[in-house]
Amino acid sequence: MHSDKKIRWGNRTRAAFLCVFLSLSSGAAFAGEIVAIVHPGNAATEFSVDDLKKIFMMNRKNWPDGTGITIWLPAWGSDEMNALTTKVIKCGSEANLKKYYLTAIFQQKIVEIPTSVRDEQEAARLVATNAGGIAIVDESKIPGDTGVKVVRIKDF
Amino acid sequence: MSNTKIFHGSGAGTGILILCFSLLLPGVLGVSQSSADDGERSERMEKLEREVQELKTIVNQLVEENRSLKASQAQMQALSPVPAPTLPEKHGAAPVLNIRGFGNIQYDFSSVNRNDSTESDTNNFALGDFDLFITSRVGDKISFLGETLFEFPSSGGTSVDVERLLLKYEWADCLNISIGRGHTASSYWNQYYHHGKWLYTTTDRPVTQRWEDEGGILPAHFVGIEAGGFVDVPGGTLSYISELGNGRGTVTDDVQMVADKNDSKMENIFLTYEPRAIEGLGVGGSFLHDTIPAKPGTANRGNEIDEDIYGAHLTYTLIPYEFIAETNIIDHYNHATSLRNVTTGGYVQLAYVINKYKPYFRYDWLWLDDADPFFPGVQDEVGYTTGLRYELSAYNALKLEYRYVNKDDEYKNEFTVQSSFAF
Repeated sequence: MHSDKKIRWGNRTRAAFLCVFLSLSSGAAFAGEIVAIVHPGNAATEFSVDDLKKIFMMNRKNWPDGTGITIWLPAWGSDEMNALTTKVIKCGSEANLKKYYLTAIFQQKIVEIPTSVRDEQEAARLVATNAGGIAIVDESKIPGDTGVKVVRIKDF
Repeated sequence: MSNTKIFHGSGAGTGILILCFSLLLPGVLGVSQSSADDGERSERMEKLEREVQELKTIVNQLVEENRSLKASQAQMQALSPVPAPTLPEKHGAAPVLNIRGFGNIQYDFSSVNRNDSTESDTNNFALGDFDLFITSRVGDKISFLGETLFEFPSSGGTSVDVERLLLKYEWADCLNISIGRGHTASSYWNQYYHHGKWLYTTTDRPVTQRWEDEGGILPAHFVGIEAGGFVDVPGGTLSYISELGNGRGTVTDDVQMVADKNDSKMENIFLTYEPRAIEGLGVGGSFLHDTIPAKPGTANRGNEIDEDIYGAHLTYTLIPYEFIAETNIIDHYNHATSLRNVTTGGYVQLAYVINKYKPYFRYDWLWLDDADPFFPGVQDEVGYTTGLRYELSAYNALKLEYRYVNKDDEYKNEFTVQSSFAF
């Protein structure tokens, strides 16, 4: 009797389990590419690591069209901040970056330490509404329809 | 770093889940195509299909609501964007004042051996300069900086010195203009290391970079106008600073703030080239010209002194390395004696960062032209400094330092423990 109600798993079941696996995967937080986001009106198409280093070290304060650059730092302690300190600015640590910005204040390079954002959503919101804004984010965490322009980082 | 695959869309996942139900349920329930109870199975299948349809309807509704919610949010953001940084002239409010500062407290031990065979040892705690630093953005591209120092001389009491007072207009990356009292770009150290000891790797400035009122030989401060910036040049970046100011007074620590004792002005140019090929490397030089006023009543100072100061620097400051080598040549032509007096000096500083530790070493030298009447009391000096800097926190450093100093008439062994901080 039980054999009459034999469960046929076959191809259908295998496909189902594959779907379960894919459905779980589609919601997972895979780390994406670290990119820069700028205002949609910004003409930049690609940044080099050297470009970003000059921008985030406040050595370059204006875009080519003369618009002042406003940087939004990643959240302190985040992976994006780690990428900024180790791969872009190469100062070794967040503590060194804080020290650099404080030194820059005393050298009259800047007036205040740049503001850091909570997450990619806040970064996108600020950059989208600030003509000179730029932030470093994980592309996979950018919420949809934010109105920012994603700019790849060459040789990152 | 390779690009990792990016997965988006909770909507896709939801659809796939629904598909899973459709595929899995028959197998989970043990429904067999060969079952004799076709009627019962058919009824159950119909029921399941209805439930799946209902679930799909609910999911579609949720997706639609989410989409319209996002659209509403985007509309609201478009109507009320994040305001640009507040500008006083637009909103009528006063500029925001940022107050920061430096301080340091230290313990010094010094053992002095003089050429006359006398010796003396001293040890004391010392309160370092209390440096108040004020910045403010007063316009879109205009900022203010004020640095006031509360000093505690060994003679007692407290003196207050306005060390810097600058208004800066940032025209473009290639041109910033500052007016007021600032640090003369006569050396790399004077341009990058100001009054706070927390900024220094070591406990104190190199011998040639001492402040004017500490026996320093360089004009560390000036009042005037400064233009600076940087330009991209083949292979790297060239930064420049040029200055025009009142120049020196009759003695080294006379920084002429409200008047100029002679009509000639100090002119200065400072350049640094940073090649792109070697990150962290900087090489440059400077040239300063001034005319020092006469000081009647002082021997050999009855007429003006033409001053030319040449500087050269080589730096490599990519963490964990720190290398700074600098030299200055001070050429005085004394119109009173018709003699030329040349003084040279410099330093080489090395340091290496190991986590929170930074061991360092510096060699200083100063070879003074003894016949130069503008530097009375200053002696030839050679110094060897070694120490360890430890970052107690991001803004507090502890330094342990030993120095051997050899002057014309004495040599010293000195030891300092310093806690320096920024706030």
